[in-house]
Amino acid sequence: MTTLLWLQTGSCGGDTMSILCADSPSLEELIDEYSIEMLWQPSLSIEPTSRLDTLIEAIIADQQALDILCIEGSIITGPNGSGMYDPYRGRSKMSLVGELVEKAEYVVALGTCASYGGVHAAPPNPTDCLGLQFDKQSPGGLLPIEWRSRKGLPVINISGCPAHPNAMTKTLAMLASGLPLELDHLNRPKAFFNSTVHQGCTRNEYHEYDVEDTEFGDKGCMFFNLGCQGPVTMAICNTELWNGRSSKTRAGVPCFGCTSPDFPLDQDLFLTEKIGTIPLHLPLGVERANYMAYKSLAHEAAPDRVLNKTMDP
Amino acid sequence: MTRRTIQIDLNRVEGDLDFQLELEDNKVVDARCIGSLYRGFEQILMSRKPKDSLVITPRICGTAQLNAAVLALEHIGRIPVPPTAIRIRNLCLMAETVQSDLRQSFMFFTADFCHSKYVDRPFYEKARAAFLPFKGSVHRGALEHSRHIVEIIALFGGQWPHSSYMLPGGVTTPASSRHIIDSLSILNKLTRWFEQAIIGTDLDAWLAIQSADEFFTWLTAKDTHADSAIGLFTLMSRDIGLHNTGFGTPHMISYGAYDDPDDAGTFPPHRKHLFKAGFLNGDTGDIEPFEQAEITEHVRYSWFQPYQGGSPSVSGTNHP
Repeated sequence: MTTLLWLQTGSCGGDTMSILCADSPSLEELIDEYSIEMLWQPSLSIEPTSRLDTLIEAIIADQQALDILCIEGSIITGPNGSGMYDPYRGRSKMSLVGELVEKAEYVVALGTCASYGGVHAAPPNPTDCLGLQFDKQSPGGLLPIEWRSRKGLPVINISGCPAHPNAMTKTLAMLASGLPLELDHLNRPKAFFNSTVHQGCTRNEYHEYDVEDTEFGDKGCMFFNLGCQGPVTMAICNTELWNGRSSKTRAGVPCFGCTSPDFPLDQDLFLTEKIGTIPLHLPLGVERANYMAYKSLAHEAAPDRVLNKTMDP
Repeated sequence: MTRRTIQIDLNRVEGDLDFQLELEDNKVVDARCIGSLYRGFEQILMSRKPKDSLVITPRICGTAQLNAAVLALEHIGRIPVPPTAIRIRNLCLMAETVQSDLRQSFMFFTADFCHSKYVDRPFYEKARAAFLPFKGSVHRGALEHSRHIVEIIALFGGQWPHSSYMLPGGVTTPASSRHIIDSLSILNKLTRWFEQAIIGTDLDAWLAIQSADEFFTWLTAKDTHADSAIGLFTLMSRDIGLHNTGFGTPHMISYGAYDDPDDAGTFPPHRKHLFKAGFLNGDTGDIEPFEQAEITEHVRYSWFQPYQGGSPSVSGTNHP
């Protein structure tokens, strides 16, 4: 039996809505097959909120074991460090989370808000919020970067806005079954964050031959002009499809880089920033001169079927 | 005269919401709902590009306010939308509504029938068999099938929740033959389950019910009707007297829903809706025109700093 407590802080509830869509494994499977006992989940628990208070007391008093603490939402510290823009029974959620993390074997940040601050931390960050162990890209959030949970891991960041449903349930399944979890430099499980959104996008052939859309609602690549951050964003969106069906880029919506610590970027999200005619942000690790040479050769090599955009993405 | 305040916490709501009741001599004299979380979306949106609102605004809530954001931009920019785009938007919005209806009813609401205080009611065992979270057949069915219906939104929008496929002027994905047949397949499968588990009859027979009397006749006509999720929901609610409890005002308002694609040529907010806006006068039973201007908002009922005028439609700056 693996006990799990789920708390929402400065949250929209999107990661809860997302995990309800998980199918591999599903939430039901986590309970039936992985013996996860959901002590409390704000959208699902049948008991009244007084049950949550009893649970918290018991956990703090070391009378209730807490294997996995899941936090959904930005950690709100305002106003003036009090955290009272996000209160719970007269105290700040921030202080409650601070106490509970010390009692959990594992702490999991569900979504970009709990991982790095997310959308609520976009300028001017009216509530002075941040992530559990990061403040955007800066190490250290509510907890210092050196902090470790009882099992010796830092906060596990399943970023995404919302986090991918199956990235969440697979991670929880791995923790419940004691499978090893390797983390990247941003403390995200490598299994779900070691490839780019660009991998698997059905517009790839347009990208390859430099057939770049200038307007939305078309079939080609959106990287050059329409703000797509697929080539610079680590996530499984195009290799483990959303809702078993699709992804933003397949549906003609640019990737907004929502798994990255700096999401949302402080710029036009639907337009590619350029230096002259060249995107400011190139695919991860690519050098500018090489990239431009490759692109002009690619365009020269483009077959008609690609130039004519006859293929549906 | 005794006056006291009762605090009511709710779980299984989307968001943070508390209720307070003021009682005088055990009679409710005032009630307020309280949103206790502040995140500052208005400040975050200031100085951003208009289309960024299609990404930021939906993060108010996990189920997305994308439609409101795009209509606002089309209203401001006088941007026309083709009828097909309205149909695609409606398809996705309707799929989202079905998801919400299933989860709201059979995961968030009916779970309460399993409460131990009802252990002596005749329905208790059936309630637990149907509605117990993760164990009850209807709870599990609603969870599974609410996942499937939003696949329609994924076809046109890439994912659910949080996609941004509605842009000023239309949608990002056309209605290809594949998407249409896929959507029909999803809808047909959901309908078969809905008929079997939720209404216990076929959809045409269900839609033919036109009055409360006809509904109650239908309910007791067959076991499959009474044992359907809607049957159990009705019988259990009435058994504990929910139909006699908690009436506040008899009046209702609606802003309407689903833009009429045949009225695509009219800009929001005056475009006609498929589900009409209106004010239901609970005293007369008449449906009167809906007048948004008659809804008053005042800053004193918020956590924001007071300002001249006090009404956000005149001039609002939302500083806590």
